Formats: sequence, C-alpha cells, structure tokens
Amino acid sequence: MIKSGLVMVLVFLLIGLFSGPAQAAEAKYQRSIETFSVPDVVLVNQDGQKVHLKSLLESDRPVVVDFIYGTCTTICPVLSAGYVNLQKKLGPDNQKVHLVSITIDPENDTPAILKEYLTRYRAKPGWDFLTGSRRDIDRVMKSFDAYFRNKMDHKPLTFIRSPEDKHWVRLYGLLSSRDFMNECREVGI
Amino acid sequence: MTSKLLLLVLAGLLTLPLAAAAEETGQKVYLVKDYRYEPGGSTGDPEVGQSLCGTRCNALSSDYLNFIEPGGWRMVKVASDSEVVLDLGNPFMQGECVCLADEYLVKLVEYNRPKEVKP
Amino acid sequence: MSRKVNHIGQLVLRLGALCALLLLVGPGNTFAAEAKAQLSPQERLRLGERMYREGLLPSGEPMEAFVSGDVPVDGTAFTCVSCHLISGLGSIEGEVVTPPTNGRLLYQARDSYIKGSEFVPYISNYAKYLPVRPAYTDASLARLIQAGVDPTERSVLHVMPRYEVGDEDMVLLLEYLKALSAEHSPGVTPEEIKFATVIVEGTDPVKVESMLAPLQFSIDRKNSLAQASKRNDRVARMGYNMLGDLSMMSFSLQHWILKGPPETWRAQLDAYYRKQPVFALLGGISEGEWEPVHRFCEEMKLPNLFPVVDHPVLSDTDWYTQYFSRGIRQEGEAVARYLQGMSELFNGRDVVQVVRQSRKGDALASGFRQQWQVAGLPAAKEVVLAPGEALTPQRLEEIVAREKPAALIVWDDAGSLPALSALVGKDGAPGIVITSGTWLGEALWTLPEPLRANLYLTWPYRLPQEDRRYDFAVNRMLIGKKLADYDRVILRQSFIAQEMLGKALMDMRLEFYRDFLYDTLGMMGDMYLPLYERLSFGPGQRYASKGCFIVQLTKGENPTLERRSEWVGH
Repeated sequence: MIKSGLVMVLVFLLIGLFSGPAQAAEAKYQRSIETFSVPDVVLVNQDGQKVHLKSLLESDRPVVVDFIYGTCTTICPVLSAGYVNLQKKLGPDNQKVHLVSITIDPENDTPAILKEYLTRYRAKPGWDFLTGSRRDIDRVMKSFDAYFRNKMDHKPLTFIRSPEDKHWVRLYGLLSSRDFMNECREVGI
Repeated sequence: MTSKLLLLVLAGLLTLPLAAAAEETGQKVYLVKDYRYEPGGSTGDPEVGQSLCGTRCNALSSDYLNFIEPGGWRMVKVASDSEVVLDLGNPFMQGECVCLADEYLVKLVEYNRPKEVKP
Repeated sequence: MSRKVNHIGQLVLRLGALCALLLLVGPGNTFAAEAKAQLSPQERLRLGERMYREGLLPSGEPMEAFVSGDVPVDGTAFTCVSCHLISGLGSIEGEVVTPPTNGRLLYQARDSYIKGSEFVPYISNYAKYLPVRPAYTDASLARLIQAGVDPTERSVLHVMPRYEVGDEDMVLLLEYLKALSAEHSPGVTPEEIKFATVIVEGTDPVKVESMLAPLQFSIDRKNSLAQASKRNDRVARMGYNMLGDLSMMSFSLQHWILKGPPETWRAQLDAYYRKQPVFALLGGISEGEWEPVHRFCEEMKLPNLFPVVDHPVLSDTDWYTQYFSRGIRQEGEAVARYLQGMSELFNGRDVVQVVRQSRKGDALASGFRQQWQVAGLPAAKEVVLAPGEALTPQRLEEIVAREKPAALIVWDDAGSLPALSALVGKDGAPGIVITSGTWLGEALWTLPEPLRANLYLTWPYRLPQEDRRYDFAVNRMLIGKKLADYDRVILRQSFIAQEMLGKALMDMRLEFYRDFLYDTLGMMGDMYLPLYERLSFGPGQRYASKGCFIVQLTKGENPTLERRSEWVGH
C-alpha cells in the first residue's frame, strides 16, 4: 500500500517535471479564502444605471471582481485581458458568470469612460464596470481589504465568489490565463 | 526653596484654565463609515432613501487627508461609532439618515507648526 | 512553452515573410518593398509611432499580442504607450516598474545604478528596480518584442505581451524607438531650465501679480539654492543629495505678453518662441480667450502648466495644457449630478434653468444640460435672460407658476437674490432652488436668513473654514507684502502650479523631456493643496480638479458653508 503510494508520488513528480517547462514567465500568485461583508452602497455602471452592489455581488451566479481604473497603464490591462479570455472561453454562456470591475479612480471615471474602456477591450454582456462616489468606493475597497490610498499604488487583486459556500477566493498577483481558468473552474465556472 | 516651589505650583495652577480652554477648541469633524436610511413611517422607495442618505452622510464626512497633508494639525478621536442622526433634508422625501461615524477634534499643533509668517 | 512558441513563432514569421515576398510581386500592394523605401523619414516615423501608440501595423491591421504567455489580445488594447508612456521613459505603478523603452537607453547597457547619479538617493532607488542587462541590438530588441525574452534570457511575459510583428514592420518600429526621447527638449541646458508665462495685456494687474508672485517666489528660491550650492560645500552636498544635478541648475521665467486681438496672438507666440525656446510654460493668465495659446501649445508640443483662465479649452484628447478644472461649467455639472440622485422623486415635474445670457451663464447651463442628457433624463426647460434684463420677483413668480418645476436653477449674479427671496414659502414654490455660489460673489455671505435654508449653492472649492489650514503655506510666499493686495483665489492657484512643477521635476530623474513632464504628472497620486478639496491626476487627465460641492449657508452673523454633497458624485 505504502509502496504503491510512493510510486504514485514519484510518478506525479515526474509528470510535474516534464509537463512543459515552467515558464520563467509564470510568476507565482497568492491565493486565500476570505469572507467579506459587501457594504450596502449604490454604484453606477457603464450605462449610467444605478446598481445596488450588495444584491449584485451576493447573487446565485459566480462573480469575479477586480479593481481597476480607466486610465490605468500597467496592471489593469493584464487583469482585463484575463476577463477577455474568460469571456471568450465561456462563449455564448457569458451570462453564466458575472464579471465586475470596480474603479478606484471615481474622480475621473464617469460612466462614459467606463463604457469606452469596455469597448476597447471588446467586452461582451456579462462584464460590468462600476463607479460611484469616492466615499462609497473607498468603503467597498476596505470591505475587500483592498484599500489603496493612492490609486498608483494599487495591487493586482482578483476575487472570485462561489455562490454555494458564499466565500471569496482572493488572488493576489498577475495570473497566467491557465492559472486563472483553473481557479475559475475550481469555483465551478 | 518652598516659596519658589509655591510660586511654581501657583504658575501651574494659573495655566490650567488656559490649557483646558485650549483642549476645548478645535474643529469637530466626522469620518463616516456607514449609513442607513430610516423611513420612520414615510412611504418612499427605500433604495432611493439609501442612496440619498449616502449623499447626506458622505457630505457630513471629511477627507482625513485634508487635515494631515497641510502639516501642523492633528486629529484627536473623541468618539467611535457614533450614530449621528440627520434629517434626510430632501423636499421630496421624508425620513432620517443615521450616519455611523468616528468623531474627531482637529487641533493646531503649536509646537509642531512651521513658523507662521504674518505677511 | 515560451521556447516552443518561439520556435513556432519563428516558423510562422518565416512562412509569413515568404508569403509577403510572393505577394509583394503582385500589383496593388501598398507596402511593396519599393514603396517602403520611398517613404520619407517623417512618414516612416509616423508609421512607427502608430505602431507604438495605437497598436496598428502599417497595413492598418491591429498588431496581434499575447499576454500572460498565452492570452491573445488585440494590440490596440495593449499598446506600447499604455505602459511605456508617450515619452517612452517608463512608469511606476503599484509593484510594477516599466523600464524606459526609448532607443537612447535601450542601446546602452544597464547596471543597477544610473551613471552620473549613483549617489543621488531618489534616482538610485529607482534604478535598483531595473534589471541589469547588456545593451540591446536590433536583433535582440526584435526578439524581446516578438518572443518576450531579453538579452539575459529572462522572460518578461508575465507583464509584457509579445507582439506578432513582421521583420519589415519591425524596422519601422525600431526606427521610431531610436528617435523617441533621443535628445533633451529645447529650453534645457546643463545649467538652466527656461520657462515662460503668457500674460494677456489688459488683464487686471492685481490678478496678474497674484499669478506671478508665487511662481517668481518659487523660482527665486530655487535659484538661491543653486547659488548657495556654488558657494558652500555643505549646501551643495545637501542639495545634491535631494535633487542630484538639478540642485545646481537655475530657472528663468520670461513674460510673454500678448497684445491686441486674439487672432494676432499666434504670430506673437511664434516670435517669442523663436527668439527664446523654453522648456515649458508656467501659469499664464487671461480673462477672456485662451484658445490660441492652447492651440499653440498643442502644435509646438509645449507643455503649459496651470494657466489661470476663465474658459479652459475642453478636450478629451489634447495633451499639452494642464488646467485646474473644466471651468465654471463644472458647477453646472455638479448640479446635474446632485439632482440626478433624486430625479425619481420629481413625479414628472420639470427642472427649469433660468440663464443670464453671457459666457458664464452659457457655460453653466451647458454643463448642466450635457450632464443631465448623459443621465438620460428629459431635458430641462430653459428661460434665457438677456443682458441687462432684470430678474424681478414677478418675473420669477410667473416662470414658477407656469412651469411648476420640481427644481429651479438660476444662473445669475447677486441681482437675482431679491427674486429668489420672494419665492421662499410661496405656494407652489419649487422643491429645490439652486444657484452658483461663486457668481454671487461677496453677497453670498450676507444672504437673507429666510433664504439660507431654502437655497442650495455650488461651491467648487474646499470649504473656507477648512481651507484656512493652508494659509500659512501660501502666506509664506508673500513675506513683506500685504495679503489684501492680492486675489486670494489666484494666489492659491499659482501656489498649486509651482508646487506641482517642483514635484514633477523632482520625479523626472533629470530626464528633461516635455512629454515625460506630463507622463510624470500622470503618475502622481491625489494632491491636497490649497483651494481645491482634492486634485487628481492620471495618464491623459488634464483637468486636475474634478469636483464641486453643493452647499448651504448656515444661520447667524458668522455663517459658514455646510456641505450637502460630496466633492465628486456619480
């Protein structure tokens, strides 16, 4: 029993060693499970419609949340590319998951700017970009433990909520598409 | 020796009221953490009420960076999680807003402040 | 996987090159080799710039990019400029440092320090984040772009995409990179940085002086430091420690005075510039037109930091002028946002705008109108008052009785106050009445008591009782002068201009490029300075103050303003 177990381990290790060279590109990311209490605020989406954040996020479909802003240069394009890819993979099923981006620059990001961003990334329905009052956005960031006093100091954070256990998977780092899809799959997307 | 001591004590006692007065001055500011709408019997859409209370309570709140950035001022917390009740103040809808806030006194730090130059 | 993809990539490239060669022989292909050779140098640079800034190949097709190793994205969503910025000098955002990508630096080896500034902390701290590498060559640079591997075999694919760029297109891109930020901008020598300020003749002298005083103070202070450094080793060491070579440089500020009608200004600006090119324009003032100066700066690619103007030029794409705000129309926009939040409660009743016909009134009404329209709400009714036409209590009552508005907005000066007062408590009065706090002027502080609880005002600044905290910083610029001789608002605006210039110069690592000045400003966080509640910046953002409070005046003899809204709302 133990011997076959050891063999199994060895086999898995060997598979791991030869399953494609680990890209020096594949930066590690950190993963943890969290529970957050979403504040009861009203935000505005890219179409100028009011959105009740709590009911939006605590829904019965899986939800993915990230924090970006319209004129962001470096981290946001990578995060948004992940969303683009996920939408591509979902195909016609793109309403199965709700992708939510929340701006950390509500001063500048009016609904028009949110819309322009989504158009630039050729977002399909199912991906909403939200703005709101500065205070309310700060509260949302704090509730996700993702408060950045200065938007230039923001970190790459993605959150995936599983509707079954209502927990959030917190992903810190820039994930490759393979890792991101794996994480989504684990939550049942 | 004792007379000198007495003089010192007297001087100290005299400055106490001044110190007390200094403690009371300072601007009261609120940092609002949460808010909710209390319809109190009026019939209005509670979501609109919540949104309007957001505006009302957030207007009450100050941006703490406004006090810290200029330098020479400090914020002293005087209460945590106070519930500040404001009238919704909207001509089209009744009700109250309960703003959950930390209260601070903002005071000048005389010894810390760069020399004020009177132009 | 990267090596496998690289292999495939190279195969594809080779096949592609072969096909291209075959196609080139055919007619009608606008990028035949002969045609490319016939492109002028400027056209070649323009095509390279289009690849860099827009992610479009010379053929017009978007560049194909692969991010995070394997996610295909449109190159137009992942352009070079988005991380390396317009100047190509790179950016710092959160934990990601994007290195410079201009040719001058790429074709030099990079150590963990920057030669010449090894002992300047703020520069050497930055240099530590840049990986060490040998100089690029055309071949290794092409490989980085196509395969994401640098000359030390390090992969950059976790943050930088790799791009499918053919060999011929790559030549154009590399040419562009070599020309990008190759030489310091005009107006900069190792000893001096030249600035100028544009003053429209005939502007109120108090306003001009209020704009000049903080700028001149700041420049004089900088020059004193430079002088002191030359005479005293200890000052020189301290200065060098803080600023590097910048500590020994002096600044100058010319006054470019524009005379006559605005149509003649362009020629005058060209003449001033020809006589003495400057690195950037600082401040500047006009009580009327500003557009000719704005256009001049766009065409000359000359930065203008914070001119004091009533009518900024509004554009989502212009690059070279940084304004304090979008002007008085921002107050109109704030009213629209405030009313939007409660528009569901209007029950079909209208909003009415009463507008005093004038540049100011029109801007306010337009700001409201546009924001209201964006929200998809039915247009407000508008009543225009001709210049000189009185807004009597009867007139206003008539308007209110006829339209029965839920909300009444009056864009006029203090002359409207008697009519507004007469409305208070009347039957059928609008639920909410709003006017411009700044247009009322001093009369704001003596509003009749019954009006105070019934009138909302726009206030595009920090509340005065809170702005006091910044007095000492501003007053420091006026040693020996009387504060009462100056315009309080303009003084504070000019304070902001010199403060932001100083911060930007200190962040620029002695890379004195005009575009990098703006790239640097765009990387600054929110600023808490005198006058405006908050100033915010970002790539391409050119209007620093984005907010405006809705306020009311309190009761009593020493009233204050109280906020009824946040600084920025949506």
